[in-house]
Amino acid sequence: MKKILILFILVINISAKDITPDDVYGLSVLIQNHVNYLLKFYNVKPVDKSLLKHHKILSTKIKPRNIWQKSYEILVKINMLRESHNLPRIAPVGIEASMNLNPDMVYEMNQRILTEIKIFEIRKDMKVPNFEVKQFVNKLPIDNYNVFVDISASLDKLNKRALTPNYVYAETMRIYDDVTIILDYLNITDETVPDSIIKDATPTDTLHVCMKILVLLGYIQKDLGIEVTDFSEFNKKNVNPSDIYTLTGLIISELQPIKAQFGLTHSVTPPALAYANKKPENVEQLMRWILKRLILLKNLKKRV
Amino acid sequence: MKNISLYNKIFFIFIFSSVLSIGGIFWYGFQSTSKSYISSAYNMSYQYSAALEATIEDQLGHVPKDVMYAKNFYALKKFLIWRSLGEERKAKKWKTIFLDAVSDFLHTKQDYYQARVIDL
Repeated sequence: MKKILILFILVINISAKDITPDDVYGLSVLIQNHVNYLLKFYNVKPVDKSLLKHHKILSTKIKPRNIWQKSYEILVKINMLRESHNLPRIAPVGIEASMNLNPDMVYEMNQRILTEIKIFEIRKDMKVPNFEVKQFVNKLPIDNYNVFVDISASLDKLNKRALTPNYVYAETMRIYDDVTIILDYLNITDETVPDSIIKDATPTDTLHVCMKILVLLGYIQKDLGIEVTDFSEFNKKNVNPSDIYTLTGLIISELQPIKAQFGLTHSVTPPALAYANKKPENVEQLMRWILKRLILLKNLKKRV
Repeated sequence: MKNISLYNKIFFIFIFSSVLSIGGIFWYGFQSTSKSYISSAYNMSYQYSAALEATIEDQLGHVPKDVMYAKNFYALKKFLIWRSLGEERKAKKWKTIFLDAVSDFLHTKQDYYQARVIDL
């Protein structure tokens, strides 16, 4: 009897913790508390509520893979924070492609973000209050995404700068590389060339191309039997490079199930490299080229 | 003419007809031999030219094709695209691939001593 009891206790202890969207949300709120503390510490005004309202998502059926990419964006902004405080940059992690990213992965990413923020607090010798993880119920991925929108905007305030076209260009290049992985796998000859640069192209022009790419990816996903998400809510006015960065994250996240469908699960999207002197027109030109390359994937159903 | 004896007349006629016939034969022989030599020389020259043409064709005929192949080589195209976009890292990568391919090509085809890509 005693042996059975010990075995029972052992089984309880070694069983994996089930992570729910409420747990992920609770951890995101904890990160938000830490970031708000940093704002107070550096006497930076909190993010304007109207600005947050502009960026928050209300109806899109956000998936864990989209949240994962948003958390990647936060890690990039933490790097910018480190850089502005003379700390070395840490390359954000990449993840292998999967059909449906498990919410556990978002939880893991939250843990990484929290660790990075705590490291920063320790390095800057801050006396941080002991924030507790609060319990929430019935939280959806979209709620978690919106907390990340808040955290991302707060980090912009903290960094005293938003993401520049250099960062956006680096992410666009990652999309280019991901598309190359798919084209190479399918043995599709890429004879496309980029169209000429449009001088004075704005982030709004890039947004239009990004939306076209997301729609096209939807068609490709439909062909492959993958559930399609409508991202039309992201088609906003008055966009800046940070908004385009968010869209590049969405595009990368939507390419992952396509890669996974072809068995390219071990093809991790290459890490972003540092670029200089890039302008919105460079991003727009590269994005238009990516759109042309993705059109090569049309009629994918016949190939599968 | 009346003073010339019959004997002499016959002698001159004989000599004249002999010279005329020998000259005709000689002229004909000369003409046909000359034609034969010219024809033979022409044939030899034609054959030599054809052989030379074949040699030149064999040795240099693939040059335009090789140049066109190099021009359409995918790595060169990628290099030119990335260079026009001002993306040095990618341009350098494709340039290395292209130059490696050209180098391998030179090692394989012994006809070329050196290949120069202008403005690369």
